[in-house]
Amino acid sequence: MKRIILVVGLWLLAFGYLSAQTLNVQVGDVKYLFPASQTGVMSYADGTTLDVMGKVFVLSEIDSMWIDETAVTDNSVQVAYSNNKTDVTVAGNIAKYLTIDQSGAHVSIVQSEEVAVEITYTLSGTSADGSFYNSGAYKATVELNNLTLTNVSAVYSGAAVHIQNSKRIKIKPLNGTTNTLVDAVGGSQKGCLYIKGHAEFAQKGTLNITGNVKHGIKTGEYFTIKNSTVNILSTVGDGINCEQFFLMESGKITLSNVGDDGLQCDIEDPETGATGITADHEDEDTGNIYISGGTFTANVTADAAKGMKSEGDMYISGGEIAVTTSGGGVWDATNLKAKAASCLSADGVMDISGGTLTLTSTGAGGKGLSADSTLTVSGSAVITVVTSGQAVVASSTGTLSIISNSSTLDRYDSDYKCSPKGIKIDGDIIINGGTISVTTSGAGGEGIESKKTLTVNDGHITVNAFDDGINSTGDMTINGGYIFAKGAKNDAMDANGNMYVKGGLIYAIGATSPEVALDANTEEGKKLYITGGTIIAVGNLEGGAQISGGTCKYTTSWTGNSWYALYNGSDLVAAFQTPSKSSSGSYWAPAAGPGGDGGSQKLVVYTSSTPTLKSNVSVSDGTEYFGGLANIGGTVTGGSSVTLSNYTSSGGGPGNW
Amino acid sequence: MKKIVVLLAVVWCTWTAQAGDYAYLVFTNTIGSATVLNVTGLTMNVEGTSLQVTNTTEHVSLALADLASMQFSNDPTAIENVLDGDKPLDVFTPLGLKIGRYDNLLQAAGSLPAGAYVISNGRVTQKIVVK
Repeated sequence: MKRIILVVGLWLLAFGYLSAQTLNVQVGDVKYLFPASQTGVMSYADGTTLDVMGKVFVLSEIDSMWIDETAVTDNSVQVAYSNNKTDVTVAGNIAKYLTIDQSGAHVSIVQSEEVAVEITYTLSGTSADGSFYNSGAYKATVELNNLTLTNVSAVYSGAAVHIQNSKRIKIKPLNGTTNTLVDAVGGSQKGCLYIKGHAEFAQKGTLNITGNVKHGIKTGEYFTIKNSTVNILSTVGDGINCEQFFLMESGKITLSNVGDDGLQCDIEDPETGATGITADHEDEDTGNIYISGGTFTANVTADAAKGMKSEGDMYISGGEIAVTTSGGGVWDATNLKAKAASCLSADGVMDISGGTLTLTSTGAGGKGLSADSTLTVSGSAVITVVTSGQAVVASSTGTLSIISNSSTLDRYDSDYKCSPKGIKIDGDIIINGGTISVTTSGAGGEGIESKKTLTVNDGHITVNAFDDGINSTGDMTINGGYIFAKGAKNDAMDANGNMYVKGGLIYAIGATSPEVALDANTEEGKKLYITGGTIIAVGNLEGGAQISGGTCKYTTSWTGNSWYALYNGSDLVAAFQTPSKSSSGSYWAPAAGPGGDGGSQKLVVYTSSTPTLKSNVSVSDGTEYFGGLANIGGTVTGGSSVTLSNYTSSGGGPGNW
Repeated sequence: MKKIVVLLAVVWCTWTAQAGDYAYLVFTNTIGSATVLNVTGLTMNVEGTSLQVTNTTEHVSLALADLASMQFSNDPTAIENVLDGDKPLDVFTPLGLKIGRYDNLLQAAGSLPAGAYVISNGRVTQKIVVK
């Protein structure tokens, strides 16, 4: 019975369409479809014009009229490209609102300001020299139905698709379709796909973009995306450039061969902007970037380019983000400042509470994350940063050069140098959760740096840095979490204010003396305070450290690349693998790796009770931490007890910048 | 089986109702005369000062200067917008000679040979063309 109903239903549907009686009016390559049921009285005037539903045709321009059974969808326009020709089909109910011009396969459709319904424009077909220009003052939808459009002649605009409409424009690459847009080389367009208003991408089709003049996609207002796949194949400017805010909930964006930033979101109106986040982003103009899902991949190569840049804040709560930058530094002659690339850069705060971020920067001075204000990491965020460039410095006249020696960098004012730091935040850093892994290998390559304070309350942090592992200009406070920090040429953890260790597990490996594992700014009256948590440190602690709430011991007799077990009393806290030992270095040229001084570097341990150590242990089961350098909750067998001495903090220094 | 028959009947009725939308296109000129053409296969082309209208059975040429309007209709007399076709009316030749009185427009259209006529209900007078 169900089958019969289904068949009958389909039959009904089919004949319903077939029975749609339509008056067709053909004018050039434009066909107007008037449903017979809507036409009413159609008036002729003076033998020169015919008025059908308010659309006034000049009779001499009508090629033909006929009646058939063509189905008509109200409020719709179809634009079908075929080489150098375009067939435009317009639903009768909106015909009177549209002024259509054509030149070959270049189509211009101007909506009158009287339009009060949303018109859907469906673009399909292929043209080697075509474009679509549309203007209006009412929201609209543009569907892309296997459209391949290359603009060569720039008749109405150099953009392949140009929507001169300040309202909401839905862009729908229709499900299962692949659409390709290329703009005119000789145009002056702001984007291959230009939308003056706000763009909402939807549907599970694919859109490929090549921007030959400036950006790939430019929207004058906000940009949102769900489901769609957008591939920016190459651009002269940004891959995507939008204003107000950018919001990605799902879908896939891939940016390749972009000439400037991958994604840039600006405040539309700096005078009246900075509205702050609004409910449902209504009338929001913040320059913020929001990503809660989907896949964002960017490969940017320009000097000082950003994979993703917000003039406002950046909020990432989900999704897969992979960004690679390979450009070097530039000299900003206007602001007299050296600048370098960054995978993610926010002029405001950066809040990462979810998602997987894989950030790689290979150019000189290139960074993984940078923000002018606070960075907060929490929840399930997984952040992996690798920088491999050297530092770039500028002379007083702006001549750039590459520096591979960290100590040389100290001679330069901060505006004249860019270091390849993993995470550089001008505001506070607050880590409440998540997993962070940072690796740097170039001069000045600090792993994580805050220009204010740094607080870790929870989370997993693994830093292998060329310079300081973790650095803060202000106080550094560790309340919890699991932290591994290695500074190959500098301190493992360096607070230029006070450092407070109150909880968590820290495994810190500093470079050879005078660098230390945990450094506070004693030179300016600051101090290292240890009141809780667990510490494993290769290298000294800051001189004059105030240690309470537990016991601190050390040994200088330890073996490199060996597994040790740390106990708090009789309780196993963790097993860890020691670093390889290296030869000693000098103050200005520290040893090639941590754990140096030819074996005299201390192995320091602190627990809340009494720490004991076993060397050469075997570990099974448990959970790996810090990239396999530690194990917690495992089973330890074998090994020998290590004789530990009470750690006595000497007064003041070293522990350098 | 009975359900299937009922369903098919509904389908047929629906289809015929939809397919029956507007059987005619009615052209009215500036002096009120109407030209009625079946819409099946109907095409219209502007040729100089005339509108060439063709359907599957006939062809007419209408002077553009004389055309006032056109309208889809299901009434072959195509004057429902002027006269109430269900009420009695008088039929005259174009010269004003009364031919007769009919109960309604359908009866008149079915009785009259092809040609142009003037019909009146006493208040409204309208020219028609019977094909």
